[in-house]
Amino acid sequence: MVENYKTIEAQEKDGVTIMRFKDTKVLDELSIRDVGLEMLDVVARALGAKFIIDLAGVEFLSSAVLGKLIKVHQRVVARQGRICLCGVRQSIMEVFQITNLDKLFEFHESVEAAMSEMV
Amino acid sequence: MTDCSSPNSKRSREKANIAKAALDSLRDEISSMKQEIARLRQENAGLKSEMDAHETEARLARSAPDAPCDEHALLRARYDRDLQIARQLQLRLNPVWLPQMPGMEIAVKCVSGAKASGDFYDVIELGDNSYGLLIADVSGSGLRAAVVMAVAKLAFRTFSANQFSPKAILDKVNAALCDSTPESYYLEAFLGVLDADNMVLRYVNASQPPPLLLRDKVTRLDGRGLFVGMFDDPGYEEKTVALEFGDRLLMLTDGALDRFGPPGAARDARIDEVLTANRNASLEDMVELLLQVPPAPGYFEEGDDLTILALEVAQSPVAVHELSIESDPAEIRHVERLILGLLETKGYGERSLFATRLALEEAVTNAIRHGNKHDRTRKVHVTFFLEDDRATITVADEGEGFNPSEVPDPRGVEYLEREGGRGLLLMRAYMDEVSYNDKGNAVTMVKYAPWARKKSPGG
Repeated sequence: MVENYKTIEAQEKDGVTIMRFKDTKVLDELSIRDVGLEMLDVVARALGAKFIIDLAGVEFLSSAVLGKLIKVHQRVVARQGRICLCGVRQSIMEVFQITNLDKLFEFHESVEAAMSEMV
Repeated sequence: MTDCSSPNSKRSREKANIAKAALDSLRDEISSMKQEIARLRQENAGLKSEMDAHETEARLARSAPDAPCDEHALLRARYDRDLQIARQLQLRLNPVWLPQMPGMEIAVKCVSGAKASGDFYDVIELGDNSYGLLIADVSGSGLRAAVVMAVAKLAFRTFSANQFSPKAILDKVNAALCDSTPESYYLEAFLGVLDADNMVLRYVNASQPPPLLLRDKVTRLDGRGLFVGMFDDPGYEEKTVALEFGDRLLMLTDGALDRFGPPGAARDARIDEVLTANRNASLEDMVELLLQVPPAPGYFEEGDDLTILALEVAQSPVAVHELSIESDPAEIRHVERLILGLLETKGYGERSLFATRLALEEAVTNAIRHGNKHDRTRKVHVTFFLEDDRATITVADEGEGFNPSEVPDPRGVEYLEREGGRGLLLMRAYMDEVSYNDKGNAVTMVKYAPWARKKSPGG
């Protein structure tokens, strides 16, 4: 996958698509919107249906970003795919727990751990 | 407020038979001083007016009636005259008036010594109720030191335009002086930028003796940084201190400190003792006291310049901040920068800052999106109130308001896949108190200080 995205990086490995945010402090609404659109684009173009969103290094995350992650999750599930989040630091994990979204998403410690589960 | 006296008028002239060697070196000294001035004048066109003033000074001195009759005396007289000029220049460069800083008291004492050793200070109005506080000491003495001082003083004024970071200012002054002053000329300087709205002082200490912050005890505002005007990379370290009501900040040059003996722990202890013992003296009296301490025997030498610039926080800092932004999500960062910056300075840790940032972002986003419906003509009004044990933030929009009790709990299984609706939940989770006004268009959130009661994450 060689698409050039503004806000995210995407690579495919062993049939799994791994996505990362370029800006680890995703902040203003414009870039949040772009993150959402670009992740959906990655999902739409991916050959496989397995996805990892690597949140390592992400220091801040508002409910607007949660909304985008949920949207991507829905899109993947609709394709009978599988998606998981990894590298989520403690402070961000708390946000998932408070909102109960830790029940919706699948989490793994690292990309490697997620890969060994998914491949 | 400002008191500049020039003791010692002229050196004794009776020593007419100075050794030839000493004479030659004096002559060299004078001629190199002249070259220096000529060179500096060329290099610093902007300094022309300063130099003109200096020339006039020199002309006046030249036409003085007490023209000596032999060469020795002539040189001696020239040297004296140059010193005189140097002192005049130095006095003239100190501020004639100081800006009024609301809530601050100020006292200054600057005594130009017989050697005219290059002390100077300045208080620079930067706008936005911020002020540059500068105290500096140029290496060497006499006319050359005074000229370097003039260049430096102007450089500080020039580079502090639209600049609130003392490090940024000092970096520029350093670069300018490295380019324009001869090697072996440099200055020690302390530059603070006081944000008088928030009573926050950001500072860089470029090898000046650290200023003293007198609270119950004395703290020294030290930091890394080499002399100004000597090194390409002086490594200035910018630090921040939050000032409190009653704090006194005393900036002293070497000349003033030397009365207390050679640098070291014993001197520091002596100074601290004088300051704490006289905690209740007025600021001006305290400055006077420091200058009248009996000099340490065998160390202190008369003749150095001595400067003390002293400030006192005479009023509690303004605790309420109000900010209105357009209904544009990009504006949120201004609010965050202000509030998180103040909280960080106050001592809130990473978790508290994360919590406040998240709640603030949710509240302002709701105000823009649901309250003002992205209408750019409507504003979001943020009020921030900082007390010792808590921070209170109110976010109000110009919309119709809503009833927060009608917002469903987004944690329910049926709502889990909804994209929105989590802002209020997060605000409640991360702040200690959250309440709405009756209309429902203004939310007030309270975050307890980390050292106060614990409840929410980061509390």
